Amino acid sequence: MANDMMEAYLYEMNTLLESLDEMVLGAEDRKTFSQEDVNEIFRIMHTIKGSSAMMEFDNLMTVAHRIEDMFFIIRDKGMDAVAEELRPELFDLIFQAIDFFKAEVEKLENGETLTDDIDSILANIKSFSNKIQGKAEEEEPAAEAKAEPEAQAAGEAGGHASSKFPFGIRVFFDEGAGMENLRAFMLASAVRDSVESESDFDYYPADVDTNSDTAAVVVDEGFSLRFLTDELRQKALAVVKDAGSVGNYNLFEYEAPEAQEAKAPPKPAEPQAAQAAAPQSAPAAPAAAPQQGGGSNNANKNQKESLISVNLSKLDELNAVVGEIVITESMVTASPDLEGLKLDNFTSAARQLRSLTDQLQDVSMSLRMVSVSATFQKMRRIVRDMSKKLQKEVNLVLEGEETEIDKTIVDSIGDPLMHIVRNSMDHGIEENAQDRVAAGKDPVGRITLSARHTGSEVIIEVIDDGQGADDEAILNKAIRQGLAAPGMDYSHKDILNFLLMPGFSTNTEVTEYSGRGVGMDVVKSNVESVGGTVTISSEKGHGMTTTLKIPLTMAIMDGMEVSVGDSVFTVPINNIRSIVKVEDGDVIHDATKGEMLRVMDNFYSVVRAKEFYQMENGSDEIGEGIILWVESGDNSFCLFVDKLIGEQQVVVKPLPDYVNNFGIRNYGVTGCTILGNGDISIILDVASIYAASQAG
Amino acid sequence: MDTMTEMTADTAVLAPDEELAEVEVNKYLIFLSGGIYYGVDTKYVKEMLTQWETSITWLPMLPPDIRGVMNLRGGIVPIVDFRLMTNCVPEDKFCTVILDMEGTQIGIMVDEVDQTVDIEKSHILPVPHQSDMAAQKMVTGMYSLPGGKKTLMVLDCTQLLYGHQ
Repeated sequence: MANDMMEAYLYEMNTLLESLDEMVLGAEDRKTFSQEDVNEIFRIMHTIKGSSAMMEFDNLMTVAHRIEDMFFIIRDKGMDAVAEELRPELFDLIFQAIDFFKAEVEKLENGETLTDDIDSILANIKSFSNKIQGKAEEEEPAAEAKAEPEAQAAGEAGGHASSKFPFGIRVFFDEGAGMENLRAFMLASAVRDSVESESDFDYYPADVDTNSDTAAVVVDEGFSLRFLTDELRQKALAVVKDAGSVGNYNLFEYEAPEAQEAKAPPKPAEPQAAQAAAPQSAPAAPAAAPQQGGGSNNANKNQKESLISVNLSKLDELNAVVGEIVITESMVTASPDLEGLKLDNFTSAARQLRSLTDQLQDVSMSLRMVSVSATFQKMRRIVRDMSKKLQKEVNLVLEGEETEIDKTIVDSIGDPLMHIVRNSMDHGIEENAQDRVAAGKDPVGRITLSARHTGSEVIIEVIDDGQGADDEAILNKAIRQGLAAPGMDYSHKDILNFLLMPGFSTNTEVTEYSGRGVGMDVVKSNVESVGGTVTISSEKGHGMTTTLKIPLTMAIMDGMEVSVGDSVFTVPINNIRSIVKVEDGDVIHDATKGEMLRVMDNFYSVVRAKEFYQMENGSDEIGEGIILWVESGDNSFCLFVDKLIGEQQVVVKPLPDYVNNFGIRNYGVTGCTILGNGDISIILDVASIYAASQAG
Repeated sequence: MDTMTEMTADTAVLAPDEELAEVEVNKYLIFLSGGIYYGVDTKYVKEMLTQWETSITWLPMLPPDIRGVMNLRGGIVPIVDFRLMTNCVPEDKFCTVILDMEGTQIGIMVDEVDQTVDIEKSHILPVPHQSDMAAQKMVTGMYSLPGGKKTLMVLDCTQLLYGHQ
């Protein structure tokens, strides 16, 4: 799973950086950023910041955060705030940042450790931000002052170096190993045995054996072992390598602050050169690097190759050709010319051909389909990290993880989901567990992510049981932001819609996670770009539900093929509760000639497909056909059809707009699928049939 | 353009205009429906299917002239009965002409497909206003076929695709 996340992260970074590069190049030609460009850069940085924070690449996150801040100013004040003569500098700065990101991503791809040294780029951004903010050009002292504590911070992140014991190993345990503090203590004991002297090393955190809170520190920052000499460290390294559940480790050295200052400028500008210079400044590094590269890093090298992007139209073409092959195959092997002939070799070859074409079809159909599981799992990580930082205990519940949807849809919901989950964590779930208890809720918050298909749409919901939306607060905020007119009456629904407007944020504080309200704006535009809709429903005190509805362009689902007269219909298996055979006498009539059936101690109305669709052929006798007891949401009814044909995995295809324009969707005709013999089966949407049968 | 060589013999005899190559000429497919000849620009014609190659799946809740959809090599194409659309009584036999307009496809069922001809754009005459044909909305012009007997209704494919309400 961790590998999947890494792959997805690298892919995302590469794509974002590519588009960023292209855009900035275009903008440089025009010598200015359009408002759109600025918004786009802002969003890209926001996304990089978010995903890097999730992957715990703090240096990338910090740089992205600063650039985001800078573009916040530009977005706010307009491009005019950047004087003509400053613009080349701005472009240089952005390119420098892009190069920095690219270099870091490359390091990740090659399994190298990331640089901690981001001070010079941060200083550049800072001084430029000051310039466009029109502040006095106190950049020199400001940058210096800024750089120093950050160099410290970077050193900290690098593994709690100590001047007394300059040679360190930072150890990370396998993710989810548990009891990290005790594992750390056992490791420290083992190391003590091997170096044979207690006074020649120490470790951080020092109280791992007595303080269980240090487990979290060990998970986040690693467990640092520090030695007097490099020799001792090498000894200990052997122990560390043999120890169980050690996931990863790296070496670090204590450097005097001055040394860091001195080295700072060349590094970010020329990361390659810095890499080459590293062996001289740190003699231990080359010895350690190959050892470190021995295990897991080889596997990391392949990360780049395992994902390729293919034009979707090529996949469509492939699917179409494969579909034809399958049909042609059955035309050949079942050819009437062969009738009566005894062809043993032919028959066995034909059988093999059939199994191969089946396989081919499965593969080609699965190419575009991915389960939402990877996307959902990503959220797990976000919830975990945020609940730590925000001190909120939250359970994430995943439903329908195995739902497979089109790749384009998965891509388009990743970002939106991240933003929604963050919003729920940040603004939805109550600050204090006491508040939850007082409101009669479980002290542990709950966020539910669910995915499901209806016949025509993928529905993805994020449900939290937090404090819900406070209409008054939202409205006041909307008025302050100039989104709403004071004195007007807004309905509850209107007010919730303000949440989706660009630039709206109910939280005045800018946090690492939720940002400045670009989140829901991104959500809306991403989802709309694939033809979907976003709706929010919320009640004060009872949490919030954000629903993404995305039309299926193509999806595979399990369907039950049934026939009525000459027509074949597909009913999604998910909607079928049971299939029953009943006799005429079982049907109960009401005053308006409506029919009902009693199933499992409840009465349900009967919808006859033949009458509902005004078909000419088909069975009228309940006893001759079969009843599908179907359900969608809270609505349940019995659908009467002629015959069951069988269960089948089908590829959902949309119907042409030409026929959709006649409103057949309202009658539950939402798509179709091509059966093995080339015939078309109509996919029914149970919910729409229910609605239409109630109305009619 | 090598229109000269592609022209049918008839047209060549009747229009031996030396400047022809410079005039805008389009190729039209002629088909017969309800006893009337219609022409569609061949750039829109994707293919022609015989009756036996057309396997139509009926869809509910549609007007009767929309016969349903068919599976054309994995693509779902709506099929309309052009005869019903123009208020004619359809014969049992039919041909299906698949039209493709910038990726949007539609199949029309017609009595039979005749031939293709080159028509000079300037020779297409406007339709009289009082004409009360059911197909009038879709017909953008008229053209007298060489030989004088047949008159062709020139169809606007865009109207065919989007005009049905």
